[in-house]
Amino acid sequence: MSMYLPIAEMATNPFVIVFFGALVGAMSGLFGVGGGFLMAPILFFLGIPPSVAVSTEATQICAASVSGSLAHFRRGNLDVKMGALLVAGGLVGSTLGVFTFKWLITLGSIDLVIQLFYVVFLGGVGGLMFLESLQAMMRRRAGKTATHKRRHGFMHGLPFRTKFPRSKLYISAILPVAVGLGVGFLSAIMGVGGGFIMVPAMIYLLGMPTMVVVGTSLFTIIFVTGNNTLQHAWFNGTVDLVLAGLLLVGGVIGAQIGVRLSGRFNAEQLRILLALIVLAVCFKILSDLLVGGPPIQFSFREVAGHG
Amino acid sequence: MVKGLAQRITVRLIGGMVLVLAVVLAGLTLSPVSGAQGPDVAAVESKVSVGLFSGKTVVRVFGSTATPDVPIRLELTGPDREVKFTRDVRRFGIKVAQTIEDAPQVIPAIRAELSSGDIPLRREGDALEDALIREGVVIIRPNAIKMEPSGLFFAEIPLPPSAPVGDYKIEIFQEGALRTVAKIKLAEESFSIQQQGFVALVSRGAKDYALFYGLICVLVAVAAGWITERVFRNRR
Repeated sequence: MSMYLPIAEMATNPFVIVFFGALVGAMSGLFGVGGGFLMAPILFFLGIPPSVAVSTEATQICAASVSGSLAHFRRGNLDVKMGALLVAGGLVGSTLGVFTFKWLITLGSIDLVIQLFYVVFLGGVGGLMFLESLQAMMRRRAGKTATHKRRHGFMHGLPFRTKFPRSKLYISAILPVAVGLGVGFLSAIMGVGGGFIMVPAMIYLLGMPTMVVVGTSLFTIIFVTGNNTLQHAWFNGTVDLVLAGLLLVGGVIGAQIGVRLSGRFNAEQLRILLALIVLAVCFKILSDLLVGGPPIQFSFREVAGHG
Repeated sequence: MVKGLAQRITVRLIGGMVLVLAVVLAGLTLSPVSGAQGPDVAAVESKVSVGLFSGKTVVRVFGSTATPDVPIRLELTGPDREVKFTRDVRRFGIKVAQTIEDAPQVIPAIRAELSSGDIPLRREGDALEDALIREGVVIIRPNAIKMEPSGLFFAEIPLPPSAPVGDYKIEIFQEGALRTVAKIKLAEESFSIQQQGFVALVSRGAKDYALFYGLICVLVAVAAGWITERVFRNRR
């Protein structure tokens, strides 16, 4: 059976899309990450045009974050005030990202830029995460407990200091807005929720307690990816509703499997596994960049009156 | 005109599973054409529709020729698309796509060439052509037209899933017949691929009401997320 994707303008096997959606959904249930950084490359690999893949991913991540953050909200693991400031920055950042995306499409270098972003951020985050969890494991072997040092850096001298009761923080309001801005921008360009950048930024930069981090991050991602979806659909015409539906079905099934599996592993093993997956994706994209492809490629440009 | 090539060619096109077509086989009921006044083509109106669950689109072409011993060749040409050919060049160690300036800017989005017999279809050593064949934009099928001794022929052209909507043209030639070099066009037919139903609704909506479409996408996402959470709430 095959199903026609109206915006990607191609027929595809719906079961393949649902399968990969479920696979990535299972990982996000397991690791608590959105999985956009895995899904977008898989969609490229399945032949979906990168611009459609990136935009449609936003729709799926938005849905996943809605259900995720509702669950966290009910358990009280959500700092709405912090989230609102992150969202404010995030909306500006993602709008800038969408227009940069549009500009890069006209330059014809969008694919290269997306790939470079993936290499830099996956490599950086994956590497740090791997080292960190390795250290944590060794510390535990040595019988010490991890100590969390609060550093006093330049960011504590910034103005507009505000109380965040839920996070038990008294920091400048500029910080979450700036984090949101950066995450929103990356999110629009890379077709990811940005959780893999935001979660470390919230822990290490803002110093938020780990308990509220995931819920607040998901809360922010709802608005950032919602905005991405709207703007990509409005200005770039690249959101495929049928593809999004298939990804949603897969993601729902997968997330349930992932949540059930997550009880069987310990957190440290999961973190090392996630770090390795991130590094593997990074390595794959990097090797594609370094190893030459076929001698001549071509791409269809979007033409007025097309379709 | 070459004598002995009086043709009666009827071409009928059938789309994939979703199908199609109103065929007017006008040619069959007419009296035989006398002399060699080129091809006598039946009027054909057909269209291929793309629905949500359309299968692989296969275009079938039927016809007949008075000279079954002369090989024929069929060309299918899709709607034009603007393209950019690039070549990898290394800059700072990573490969960067560089535009090939003297390559064509507009090519058919799909082109298929089929033949009966062993007419060479491929231009050897054409790097651009090779790239198009590799990407499935150009389909080359020598010997893919089944020619009966009676002169009836039949061919199937598998269109790739990426075949875009728009107008397609099918031309049938006789080439090198009676040692003449010029290729003689025997028939020309056209059909169009159109979207229908939900698919047409979505792609028209996305184009003509982009903001509204975007809002619907967001709404779908939020609703899907909310429903998921409600359904699985107690199971977590």
